[in-house]
Amino acid sequence: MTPVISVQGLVKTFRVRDGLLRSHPFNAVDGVDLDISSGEVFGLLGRNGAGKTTLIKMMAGLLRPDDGTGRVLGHDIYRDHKRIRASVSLVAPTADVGTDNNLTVRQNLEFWAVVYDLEREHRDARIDELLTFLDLKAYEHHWPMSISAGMRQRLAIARSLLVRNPILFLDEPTVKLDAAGAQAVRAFIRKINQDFGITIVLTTHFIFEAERLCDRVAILDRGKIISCDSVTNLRRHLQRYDASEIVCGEIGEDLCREVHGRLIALPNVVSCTVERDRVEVSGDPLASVLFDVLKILRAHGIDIHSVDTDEPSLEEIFLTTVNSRGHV
Amino acid sequence: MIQRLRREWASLVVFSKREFIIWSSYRMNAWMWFLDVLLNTTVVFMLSLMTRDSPLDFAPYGSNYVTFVVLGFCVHYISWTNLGDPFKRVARIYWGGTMDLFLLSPVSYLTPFMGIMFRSVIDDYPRVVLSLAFGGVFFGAAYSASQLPLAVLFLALILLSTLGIGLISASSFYLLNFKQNTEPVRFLLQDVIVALAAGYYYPITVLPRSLQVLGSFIPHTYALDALRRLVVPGGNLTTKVLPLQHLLPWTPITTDIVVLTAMTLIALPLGVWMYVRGIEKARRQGTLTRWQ
Repeated sequence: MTPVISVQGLVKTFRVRDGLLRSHPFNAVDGVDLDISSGEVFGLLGRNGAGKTTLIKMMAGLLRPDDGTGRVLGHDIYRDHKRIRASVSLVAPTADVGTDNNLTVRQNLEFWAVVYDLEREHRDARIDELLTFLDLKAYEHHWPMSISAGMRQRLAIARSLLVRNPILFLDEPTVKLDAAGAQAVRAFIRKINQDFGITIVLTTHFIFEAERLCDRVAILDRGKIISCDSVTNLRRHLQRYDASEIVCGEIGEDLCREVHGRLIALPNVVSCTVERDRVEVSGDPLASVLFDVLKILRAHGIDIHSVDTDEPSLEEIFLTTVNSRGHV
Repeated sequence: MIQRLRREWASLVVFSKREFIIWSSYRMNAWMWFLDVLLNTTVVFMLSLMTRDSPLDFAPYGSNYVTFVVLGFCVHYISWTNLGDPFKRVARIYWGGTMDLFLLSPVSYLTPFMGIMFRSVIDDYPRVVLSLAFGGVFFGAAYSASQLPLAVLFLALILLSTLGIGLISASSFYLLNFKQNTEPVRFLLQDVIVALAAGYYYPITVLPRSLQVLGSFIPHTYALDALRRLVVPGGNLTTKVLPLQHLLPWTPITTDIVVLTAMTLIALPLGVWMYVRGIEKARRQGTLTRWQ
């Protein structure tokens, strides 16, 4: 697919004060290369201070990089930053940013619709559509302070969708929400991507959120991307293949050796252990070998009591990757 | 170009509408606002009673002290908004975290804070009319309308020149990183030079020569000089009083127009330029806004 965002060697260094007259440089983003395709939900995963927000601000034209090159929607990130800004939307981590508590939910959207230059004849219809889409229609005449934080975050998302820009940056959209509010926002993020075809770049430090929402994930640590791939591929790169433990009836010593020989000969089986009452097998991917493994066990008259598959979670991948600083 | 102007205008209108909704939603504000103007005018009236028989020379500004000071109030209200407000509004956008969102819209860098300034425009500009009305109705202020178009021109010039200085002041938020309380441009002009030498309550002829010279550097001096000559009954259009009027060969009113126009033509473009530079600097340093 065509990359809508393509950056190479992006660098941003801030001066951090450590005294009245002294300061030291801090590399917030340090040589980032990234391609994000049209229609993708792309996750930037990292701890606090990893450089996620700095990176999306540079991609959104809100922050000038110190070095590197890049294009967003075909526009150069240095020369055409105004065009980039006019073609992307952003939701800040705090729902209250851009939401005026003195205006109702609907009045807030009406205000931003004019500021974003949404054509007059489409304003009401678009606002109604978004209020319905984000389950806010019943609250359109409420004050923002009288609705929940989750609803306010949905209002912020509605604001960002008033103009149907092709890219939406979501900076930790669920960070200040309770579990129910966060779950609702996550459901809408997927829906926005599917229904409107908008490319979404999402920063988060919630691993399960990235796992649930993102087509691809970049793991950021100290300003560098240390791994970038789909969750499936990240799992595969993590030298620990999907494994399965099969608890079965008693297997004699000779049968153990024979079954082991058959199983290890299967294509895509990475490792295999056969013991008296259990078989452990790792596959790449596991799904492609599991059926054959069970068939072989049954063919040798072995009773199967339970099958337990074990896949590494994104959390394990994240921790392994960050701890090894990219030596995955 | 027309499309762009239409968009900026529509944004200014919607900002104004929003600020009006906010302003009018606090009803006590309106009453306090009304009382504040009335009280200020009353204080001036009391002072006028005290100065009625004093040997103070108001020439060439006629003899009605209430009119003299009410006009001072009018310039003060305009200046308070146009010079003093931009910095506070930019600070509000920054601390509210919305600068990024405004920059992601197609409106110009200036439109958001000009729009937000409308809250002060609602609050302060009607005070000009109310002061004139209270002074006239309750306290014996009298106004000459024979030079009304010229008086309106001077009001427009003080409005634009102070807005230019206000923009310079606002730009210091990003350009010089003054993020809290006050900043040097506004402090120096509004809180020092204007307070001392603008002559809201007294003719600047009573000041030491050095302060009169200091007063020559602010537009208020020229606007007040012209407005009082034109609007206070008995005002004199020919007697020179300001240091620059003595130096230049023109009539006092012509000098006031030339100086105010020059100040406007310098301050306004300089203010816009500095503000845009400030935003670009913040875009480089990552200090456009703060998400809390």
